[in-house]
Amino acid sequence: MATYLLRKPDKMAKPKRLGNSPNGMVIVSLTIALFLIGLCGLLTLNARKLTGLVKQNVEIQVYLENGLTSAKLDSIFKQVAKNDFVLVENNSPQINFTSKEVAARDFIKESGEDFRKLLGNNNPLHDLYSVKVKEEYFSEKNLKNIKNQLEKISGVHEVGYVENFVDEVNRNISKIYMVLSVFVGLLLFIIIILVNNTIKLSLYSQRMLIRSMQLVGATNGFIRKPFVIKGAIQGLISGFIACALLFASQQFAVYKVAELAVLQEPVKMLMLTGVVLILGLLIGVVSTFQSVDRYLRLSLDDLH
Amino acid sequence: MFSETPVVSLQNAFIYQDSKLVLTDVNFTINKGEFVFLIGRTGSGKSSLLRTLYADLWLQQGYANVAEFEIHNLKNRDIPFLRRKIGIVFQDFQLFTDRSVNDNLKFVLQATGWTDKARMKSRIAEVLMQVGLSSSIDKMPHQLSGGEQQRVVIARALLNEPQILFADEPTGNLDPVVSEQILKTFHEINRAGTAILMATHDFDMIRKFPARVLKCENGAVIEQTSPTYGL
Repeated sequence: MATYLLRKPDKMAKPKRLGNSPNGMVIVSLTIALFLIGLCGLLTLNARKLTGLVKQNVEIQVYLENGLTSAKLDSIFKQVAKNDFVLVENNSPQINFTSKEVAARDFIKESGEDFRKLLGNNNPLHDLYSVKVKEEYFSEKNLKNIKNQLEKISGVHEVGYVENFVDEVNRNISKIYMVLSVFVGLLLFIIIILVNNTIKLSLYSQRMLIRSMQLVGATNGFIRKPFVIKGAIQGLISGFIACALLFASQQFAVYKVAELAVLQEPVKMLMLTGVVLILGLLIGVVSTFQSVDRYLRLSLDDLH
Repeated sequence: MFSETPVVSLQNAFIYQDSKLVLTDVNFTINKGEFVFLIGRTGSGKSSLLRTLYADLWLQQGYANVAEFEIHNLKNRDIPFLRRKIGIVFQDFQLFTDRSVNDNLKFVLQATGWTDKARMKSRIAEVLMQVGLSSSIDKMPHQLSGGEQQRVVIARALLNEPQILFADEPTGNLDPVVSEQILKTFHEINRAGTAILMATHDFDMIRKFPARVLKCENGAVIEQTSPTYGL
């Protein structure tokens, strides 16, 4: 009322609408929370894709002793193939044989160094079976057991695999999830308090309007509606900004590390965007609804 | 002259202001179309009684019926519908200073579920005519005198054709001449059939417009029969 007296009639402000409330802080905080939730989702998607790729490519290398007969090679193949851990596709065990000659040729091709110049015709490499392993055996412990088991087969020189790799990937992803989850939880908690306080301030500044509405017989639904609509809009705006940030971060990451492009999944990314938007809408609506409801149940004497 | 069914009826009602008992064993009825003054010293419980009748305070003990709503059994969700059958006028029930008289009244109609624009327009014209303010429909509240503003408040209370008006010191801020005009307006509304329960300190008005008087005194509500209305 006092502020009104200071205004000239021709410069009247627009009518104070029910539901008006400071929204900058709510949008910023909600955007950060949604962005982090989206980031968790994106990491999950990428991690799943990465794990899938890793699992498709991790092989156990069974190096064979030199000078084995083809019958012996066949026997070793059968002994390896009968194991439960060997991946079977189209009824055929996923075991590939690479002769030491082929291995040498590949090595020279990849490294550009011809060791034959140094060692003469002496090829230090071994024939090998590359064995693909079923997903359920992808743990450090299982791979170690498999290694020990295969090394007992006669004619096997050595068994190798990229140690610590799989567990390291799993461990790091878990750690990132944990840190992000705590962060997201904390942010959601702050958001709820912030929305609550914003609504409280807003209701306080509009208490005369609300009291008048209550006394003329407006239902709580009518009073609540503009606040909830505003909450929904704030949630959606935050959701859109968070999605844009997510998309930008993903593109930036790919720009910096081109190999990450292989992890991109456009359809799943779209679905994630949808989830972030719906989550923003839900958080906006539910937290506003709860806050307004609590204050509508208060006696207006308490609000004064 | 009046219909048999009372518009307000209290039996063994105990009126509390939060946890403090302010009026004990209140019994009275107000018939349709009746005009009743409610008098008593400041703090005697007049406002608490009115607030209980329009469900701003809970009736914790006893029985009360207002405009066919059982106040003692009232649920939260029924309160808005009770208030659409009654009108409330009091000193700090302010107008929205940022919108015109028409918009003030339109807002109330919208808040109480009116949607037909033509009906809203004609209802606003009717109530403004009833309080003698037809020409002020587009004015802003600050362009009206105190008495005119209070008439707009009365018009607002009349919008939903209430069975009764509860008025808590409606002339408390006005000079005697304007107060008399306002009281005349209340009497005209009453003559048209709306019951009125008015809390007031203004004994001149009671002398000029004699009507039934209820007095809040020593924690009780008593029927005032004495021709002198002193406290």
